[in-house]
Amino acid sequence: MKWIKRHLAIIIIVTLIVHMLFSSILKFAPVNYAYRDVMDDFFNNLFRYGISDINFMLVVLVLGINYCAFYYVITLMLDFTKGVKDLVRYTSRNLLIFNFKMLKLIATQYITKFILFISITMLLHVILFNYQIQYLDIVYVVLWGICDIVVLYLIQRFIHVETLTIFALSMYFLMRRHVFNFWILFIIFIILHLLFDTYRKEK
Amino acid sequence: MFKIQNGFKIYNKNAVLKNINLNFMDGKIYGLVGTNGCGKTLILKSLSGYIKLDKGNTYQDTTELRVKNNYVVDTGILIENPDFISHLSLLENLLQLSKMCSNKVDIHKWIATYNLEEYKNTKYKHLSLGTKKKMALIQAFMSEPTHLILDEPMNALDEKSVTVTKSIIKDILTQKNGVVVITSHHSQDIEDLCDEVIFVENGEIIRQTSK
Repeated sequence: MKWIKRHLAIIIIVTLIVHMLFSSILKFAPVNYAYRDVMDDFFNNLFRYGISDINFMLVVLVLGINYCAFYYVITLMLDFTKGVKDLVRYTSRNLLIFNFKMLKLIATQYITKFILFISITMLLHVILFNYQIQYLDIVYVVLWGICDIVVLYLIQRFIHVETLTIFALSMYFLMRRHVFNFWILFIIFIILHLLFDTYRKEK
Repeated sequence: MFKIQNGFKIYNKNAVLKNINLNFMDGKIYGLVGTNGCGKTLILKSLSGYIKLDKGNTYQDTTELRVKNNYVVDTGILIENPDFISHLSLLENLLQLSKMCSNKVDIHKWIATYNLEEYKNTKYKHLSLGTKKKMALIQAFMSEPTHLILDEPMNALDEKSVTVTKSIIKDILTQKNGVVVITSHHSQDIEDLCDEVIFVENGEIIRQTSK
């Protein structure tokens, strides 16, 4: 019962915050806002607007919505810089397995928050704007999730300082759509990186 | 069996490990003793494959560590104070780690062993230093490994937990007949546990004595 109450409270708080930030983005967005693409709304980033349209408030809101929704994922990413990775390493018999375990750990921690965020946003859209969710929206969300996991993996792999991690995450949140367009390249990069690591060590 | 051969480690042009030659044989508990900063932890890091020596090699049985992707296997490791995921509870953290182990782990048994039931739902960031240390020890012991590499395992523990930890170390050695390497600043711990004591000073092995 306590567990249900706690989670219900979290869902309500996140819903309110997401809605508040979302409404603020609508207010401060300097272009005509259309509700054609549901994903565009919460997939919001600065590339949506022209350079001259970008304002401070918009940057804060775009970051705010992402930091609120993925707060625990961000703390996890910061924990990685402090030594959580060592524990994963102790349970791995080689580098390749370690990398896969890290990817799995990030994915399992991320997916729950991602599903919560997506569900709330979709629900808000359906209720407030009477939006009809389509098949392509779901595909889009799945691809977005994969892209996020890949980027988070790359950040923990190459950045070992807390401040730089925060900086990298902020940059990613602001330029997510741009990164998203090349998600397949990231997947290829990861595979090549894993193979190269193995090859280098074998040699 | 673990072995370090002609080990050198250099930081900022200073040799912090100098010509380390050590053999750790199965069925024995080894204690590394020395002042702060003398290189004990570095030796453990090298043994666990956590750092690569600038010169020399580290072996587990016949496998050279840090070469061909190899890490140590079947070894419980505790080096310094590892951090867990801060927003997860004690139980969630240990369950997360147990899923990564190759064998089945009974986390609740370990929580009971260290009398941590009261704190199992407390977030890691709210735990005391002693409880965090017990968690770190549980992660080292939980997969019931053959070998143990433990850096100051008794630090921050109460007397009862020290007794429990010592008995676990002895039990694992009796059952698995592997290698146990520990460091400690408490002569009583070394006296109680170790078959061989290795004295380290300024990155060098100055003496090795058997009980």
